[in-house]
Amino acid sequence: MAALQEYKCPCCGGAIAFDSAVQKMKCPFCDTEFEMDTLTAYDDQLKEEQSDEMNWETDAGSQWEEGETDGLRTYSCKSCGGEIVGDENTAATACPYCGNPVVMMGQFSGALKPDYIIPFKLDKKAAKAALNRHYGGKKLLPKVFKDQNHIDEVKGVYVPFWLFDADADANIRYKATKTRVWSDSDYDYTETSFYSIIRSGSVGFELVPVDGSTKMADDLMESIEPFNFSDAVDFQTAYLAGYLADKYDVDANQSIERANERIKKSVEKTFASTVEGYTSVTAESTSIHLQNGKAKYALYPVWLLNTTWQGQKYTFAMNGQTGKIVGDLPLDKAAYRKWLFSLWGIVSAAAFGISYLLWLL
Amino acid sequence: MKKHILSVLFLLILTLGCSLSVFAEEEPTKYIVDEMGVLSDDEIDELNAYADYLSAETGIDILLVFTYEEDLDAYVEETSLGSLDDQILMIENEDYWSIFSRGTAWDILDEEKENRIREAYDNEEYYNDAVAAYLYEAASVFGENIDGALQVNEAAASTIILDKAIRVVDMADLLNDTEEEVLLSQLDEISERQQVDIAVVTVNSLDGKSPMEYADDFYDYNGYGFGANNDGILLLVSMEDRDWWISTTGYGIEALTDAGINYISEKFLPMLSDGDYADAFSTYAKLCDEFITQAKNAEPFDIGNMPQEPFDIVFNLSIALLIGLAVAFVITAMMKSQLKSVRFQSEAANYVKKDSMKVTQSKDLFLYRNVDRREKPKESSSSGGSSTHTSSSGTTHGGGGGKF
Repeated sequence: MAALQEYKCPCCGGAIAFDSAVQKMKCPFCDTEFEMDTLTAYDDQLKEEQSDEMNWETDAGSQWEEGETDGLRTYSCKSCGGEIVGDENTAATACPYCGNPVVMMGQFSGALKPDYIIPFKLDKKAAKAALNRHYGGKKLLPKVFKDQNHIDEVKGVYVPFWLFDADADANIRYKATKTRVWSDSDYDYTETSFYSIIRSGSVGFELVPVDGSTKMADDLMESIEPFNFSDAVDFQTAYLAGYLADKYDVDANQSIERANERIKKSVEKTFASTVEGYTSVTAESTSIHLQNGKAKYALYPVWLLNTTWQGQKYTFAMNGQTGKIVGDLPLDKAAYRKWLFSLWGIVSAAAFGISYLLWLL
Repeated sequence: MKKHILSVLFLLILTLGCSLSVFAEEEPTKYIVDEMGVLSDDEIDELNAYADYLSAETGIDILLVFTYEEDLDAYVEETSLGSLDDQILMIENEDYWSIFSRGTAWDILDEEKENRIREAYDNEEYYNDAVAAYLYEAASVFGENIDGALQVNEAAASTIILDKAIRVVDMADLLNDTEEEVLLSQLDEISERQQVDIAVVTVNSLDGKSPMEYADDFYDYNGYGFGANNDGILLLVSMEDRDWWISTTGYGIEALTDAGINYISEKFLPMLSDGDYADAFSTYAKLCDEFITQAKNAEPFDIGNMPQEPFDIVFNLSIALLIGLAVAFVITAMMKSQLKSVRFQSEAANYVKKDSMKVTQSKDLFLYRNVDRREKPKESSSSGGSSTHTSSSGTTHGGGGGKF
């Protein structure tokens, strides 16, 4: 059974949350702002008080039938006593009854404690504005989709990421060719020279992120990269207040595959750029050893926006730090045909005109 | 026999040597004098050239005068044409015409021969034709009696000699009457306008000559050509072995280079092969016109300076449509790709530690070398221009031909 943490305003007792605009905790009721450092101490203090609450937690869970609670956890809200149901990974959420932000402390205890967190820099409004910009300038986006733009849900989520540091030792053999063309009075000559090229060396990578949550699509998360790690701070649960958060459910060993893949590609490409002056270069064999591999656990801020159109769900993700927004959009087939045929007509007419002008010259 | 008396008189005057000085220092090349204006300048030029040729062949100046002067004897006394000896002069005023002869001509002419010349002249309806007939008949009368002249005309003997240069001679009967008329008027119009004869000749047999020889001889012995150089172009089509030959003369050689003849033949040969003779000849005429115009206004069409192909609408349109479709696909694909923004990152280039890259070993080994040798497409060696040859009559011709 896990503990629930709710940050209360020391002034008025209202539930307080992290405010991305001021980068501080702020009480929405009395507008009092608190430094994050102050809350660390406050946080510790509250943890001690928590032990009392654990008893009546068990009763609430007992109503579930056997097996049904697998993957589900229930908490009771400390403000209103309402039952909060989350899955085993839920780490921060809001009470469905009173709306107060709550943090499940147990999800971040011990080895599960994230090393770093990049706090949200952009708020919900910015996310909605970014989505509108995302719609703009896309001629094949159905107009109705844009006009009926109602966002079902906007969620600020701290997504668990594994960050891998590694030094890559590479030993790569490339096959390269050089071509030379010349001619005399009777013949054209093409000389192709073949080379075997070896490059060895090392290159260091740091903080290669891999999405540690199965709930988040990996391609969606990679699309909003990069995050700027210079904004990262040591993890404090207080940052989670007012946002949703999950703990990782893909561990570092599983995630490392993806990081290796990307690192390998990058190494190949980086060393290929040192092979210069050839007509064509292809890697023949690659051996890459990773050394000093280290993994860190961090929470990165992501705004998720959901909308449904014609029975289909569209998910957009915005980098909560840089504001980069991604998300696939539906295609207006009629507009596509219109563009295709009108462009065909116009370009063909232009090409025909040009060919006639060339003929006249 | 008034003219007989006149010729005797003329001889008498000459023997007395009364007005020798009047005959001296006249321009010898003026065989035709038209004070009445019954002939056009072109016709005079043409007839003069013909008379010049025949006179040279026979050794006797064949002359003709149209004048308002009433007293022809006096006219002959006062003026002189051609060289002093050996000449025949036909002279006509509004009332009558007469023949004077001197030297060898006077010796040869008897009543019967003079009548032949008279009839030839009399039988033609138009002045132009009549003069040509007179010149030819006189030449053939003298040719029969002068050894040298006879031999020269042997080459002409196997070539059909026309009374007058007609621009369509359809002996193989490839054209019907209407087509022939249309073609003739087209050729006449172009020839008169360009001052270059354009002729079409079809025959069933080449009489053992090569197409080149036949075309050249036909041209030479029928008095085609404008001006001193006999400017003209003749297309010969022989059904015997399905030969064609274009013979060019004078300015025609300049206007139709070897490459030009090649080009023209490429245009009309398909029609010729299909038996579409009227169109083939009309195409030939049009192209000759075009080539002469080009030669007059600028450089003649030649290698590197060929007439422009007509604008191929179907070809250009289909290419344009293909390009349009490809471009439209690319642009719409780009527009489509704007809609897709979720994709995996293939690399980790953003996460390379700054200046962490070290290259410890860098070896470039040369393995082997392939040399691929390909023959260059042969460029045509001809440097352009027209190649020429000399025909049996000594005239310079250009030309080209083949089978169809």
